[in-house]
Amino acid sequence: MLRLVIRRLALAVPLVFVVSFITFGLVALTPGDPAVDLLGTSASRAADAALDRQLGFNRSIWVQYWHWLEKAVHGNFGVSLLNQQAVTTQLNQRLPVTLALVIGATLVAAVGGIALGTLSATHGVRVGRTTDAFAMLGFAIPTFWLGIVLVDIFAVKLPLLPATGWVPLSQSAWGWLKSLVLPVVTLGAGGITAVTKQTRDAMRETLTREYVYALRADGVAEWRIVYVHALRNAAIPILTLLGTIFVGLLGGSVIVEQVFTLPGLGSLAVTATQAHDLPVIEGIAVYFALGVVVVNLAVDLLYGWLNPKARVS
Amino acid sequence: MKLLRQLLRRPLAAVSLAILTAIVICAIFAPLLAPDPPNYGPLVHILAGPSWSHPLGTDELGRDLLSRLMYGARPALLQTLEVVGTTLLLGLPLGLVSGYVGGRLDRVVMRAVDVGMAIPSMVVILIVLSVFPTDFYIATIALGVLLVPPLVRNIRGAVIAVRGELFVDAARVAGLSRGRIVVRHILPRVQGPVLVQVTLLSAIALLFTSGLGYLGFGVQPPNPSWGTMVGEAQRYINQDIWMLVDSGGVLAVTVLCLGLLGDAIRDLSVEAWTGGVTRPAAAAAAARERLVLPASEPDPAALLSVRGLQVSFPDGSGEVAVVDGVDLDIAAGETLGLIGESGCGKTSVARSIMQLLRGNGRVSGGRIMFDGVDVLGLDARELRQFRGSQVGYISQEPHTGLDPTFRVGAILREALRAHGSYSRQEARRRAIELLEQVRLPDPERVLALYPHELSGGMAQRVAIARALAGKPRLLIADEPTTALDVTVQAEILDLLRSLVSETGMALLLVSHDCWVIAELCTRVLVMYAGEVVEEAPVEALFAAPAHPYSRRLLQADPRAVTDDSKPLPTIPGAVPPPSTWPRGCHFKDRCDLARDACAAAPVVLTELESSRRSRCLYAHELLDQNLLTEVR
Repeated sequence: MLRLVIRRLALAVPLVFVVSFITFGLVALTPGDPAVDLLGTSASRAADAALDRQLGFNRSIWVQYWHWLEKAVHGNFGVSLLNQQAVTTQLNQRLPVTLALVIGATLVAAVGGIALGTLSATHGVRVGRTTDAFAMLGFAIPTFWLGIVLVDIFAVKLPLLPATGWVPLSQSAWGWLKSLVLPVVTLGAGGITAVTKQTRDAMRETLTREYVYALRADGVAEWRIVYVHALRNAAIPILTLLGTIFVGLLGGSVIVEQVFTLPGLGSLAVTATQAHDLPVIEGIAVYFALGVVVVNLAVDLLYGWLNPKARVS
Repeated sequence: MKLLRQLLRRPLAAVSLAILTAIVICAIFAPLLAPDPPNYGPLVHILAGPSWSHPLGTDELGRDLLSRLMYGARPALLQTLEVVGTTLLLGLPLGLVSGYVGGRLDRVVMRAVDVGMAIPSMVVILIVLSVFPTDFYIATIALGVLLVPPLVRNIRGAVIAVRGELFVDAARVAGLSRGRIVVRHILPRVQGPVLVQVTLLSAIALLFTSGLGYLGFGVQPPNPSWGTMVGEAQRYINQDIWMLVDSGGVLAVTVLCLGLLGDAIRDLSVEAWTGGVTRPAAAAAAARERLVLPASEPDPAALLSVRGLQVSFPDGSGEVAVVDGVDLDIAAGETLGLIGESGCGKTSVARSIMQLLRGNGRVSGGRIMFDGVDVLGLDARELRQFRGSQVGYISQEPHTGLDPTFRVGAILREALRAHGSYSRQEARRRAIELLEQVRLPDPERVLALYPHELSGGMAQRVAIARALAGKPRLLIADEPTTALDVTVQAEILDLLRSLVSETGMALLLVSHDCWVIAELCTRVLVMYAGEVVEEAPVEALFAAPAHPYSRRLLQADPRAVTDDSKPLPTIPGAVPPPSTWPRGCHFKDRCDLARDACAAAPVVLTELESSRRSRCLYAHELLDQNLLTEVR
């Protein structure tokens, strides 16, 4: 188990480096001059150069990266070029929104996909075909489009839920939950398809195992066999997939936050992109990469819990 | 080309292909086909629904939506092409080489793939867009690069699956260079998986680039793209729903078609390489000529009474019987042996009593009565109560019967709770009792073990313990010692013998091993090719078999051979597959006594003396011969 975690950590470190360096390298290639962007074209050359020096843009990319890395390790990603706010403060403010959205969506994908996949595996051909078609539809419908349609139905035509916006948990738990429902469902729907397929295949395979027959021979109820024994064994490949899906949904949150105008990291990424706000984009990229690392670790721990053989080796 | 023809034969795939082709044609010939130029907005009939002049309605400037969708398809397809092209260009060679060459290169590539799969693509693309805001193609190429890792992983998997196959070895022996083998032999073989990946990649690329379009990156207004049209539709959603239906609909339909096409290609490539299942003609003939004997009535005195049991499994488009016309009686407390080679149908008989046939096997004829209850007529709830508490079952492989994710204690508790309500403590106490009953030392410790921590002998004892949990009146043991070491075999047989005498339960012991049967049983049924060929008390069978197959079986028992200098006798040939069973005697082709009469008509099981039956036309002759050998 420990070895599994260590191996995953060995993978995590290069990941964070690769992501941060890609970010850094790309931004350094920017044809535009951030000082010119900030001060406008009317500013004098000397003023541009002075600001460049102040911000460190005149030094080589390696030196810049090294300085950034040194600070980043201490949780300091610098200040936003746009509003001079500390990046960490800005990101931490927005982190709960994206976290709630993506975790919620992963849960929706997991629960929906496992339910549909199990249904497909344990019932006849017709039910299987129907769930397959349903799952395929989930894949085909673009997230942003689904979001707009859901808003039109549940916020405009039937005013049950807020169309857009965000209520912090500290303000009102009920309001928070209501503001989350539509975005979470929208984002999660895209993940249901893959989970359904994986669950169906894994369950079909598991249900042919001899221990399933042995449990039947004991007279154990079929629901216990399917939901307690088979599902637990099938959960091992499903879990691996959920780790991958989380990464995908993290990216999808950018679009969903835009559809529902949520003040999360994703919408910040879009505005920062448009404004060439280098420290902010870097911070977001590192936050996302760290999120992936944490989720992969959690997946490994759960994997060990589900699979006793992995614990000893 | 062959693949294309096969695809066109499947309705869903053909429709998908047609729609995708139509979309591509519309995109390429948009200037010729579209009713209006894309940005022609006369400011009349704005936000209108479908009409004759505007089949898909108009937008806020009165622009024709059909025309805009046609023109909008151009960037959509172009961007998809850029993404997929980049991914294939990099991922295909990398996947092929990594899978074919293997070794250190493969490990390095897979490590990189692991890291690559964890990169959040969206953020990277946003950074690229901020660096190159005017050159969207750089973003699509970057997306193509980001999609390389999953492609490499999939292609590599497909290559590894075919790498070890004979034709690759043959090419290697013939001295072909690695490059030629990969291109000429491996690539065509993984064509299916590659095409499936292409459809999947196209779908992902289309959705992703449209998403970027929706966010305002890529094609800039007033020019249309599918993604930006969704964004425009969102603004006017309260006045006109059609804009949204059109733009989202075309995206969804395209992705759906790609998905369906991918599924069809996957199905076809699996079929192409595994070969279609063909049903032997003999099967149909044998099925037609099968002799239907009127099954006798079950014996009301017996604990278990089986009559005319027929078990069938699907075979091609039909069904084939693997057990046919088996009669079997077990009295309370009796130990009955069922012996025969693998493939004779012993296990199917044993499992059909429990209604636990594997695959899609089913009891297609006959009756199974247990203590006056018709087992085949039980509903799901009754069956659940019957299993475990009336009949217990021990399967061949001790480990495979144990759920690997549950501890021994949990497995036993589960079996106990299926037949009564126990508190946690009672269940634990009973579980310990059960483990003591099967003579496992240190039962408290064993309760906390996982199946993979048990030795074969321990696992089999646990399997027996759980079968005893419901206090069954009949225990079916299917090859309970086959997978075990010889010393452990004797222990398990001892255990079974003493359990039978302690509890007074009946035992149906299935084995291919004469020694095992002789150790435990009082009466034996010999099975060959789906039929019972002989029934006898165990001493009588061993003294003088009344069927040539029984005799061969006894001769082939390694433990019966006393002369080490001679090679071990074997039965020439093998059990024929069920679909080729002849109309007459099933053993004829392997029998040294076979005569013409054997093939003429089905041979029936006839009574020789009391409790002694044989399915051989020359049983009496055989018995005399046996007598002769003994005298000599």
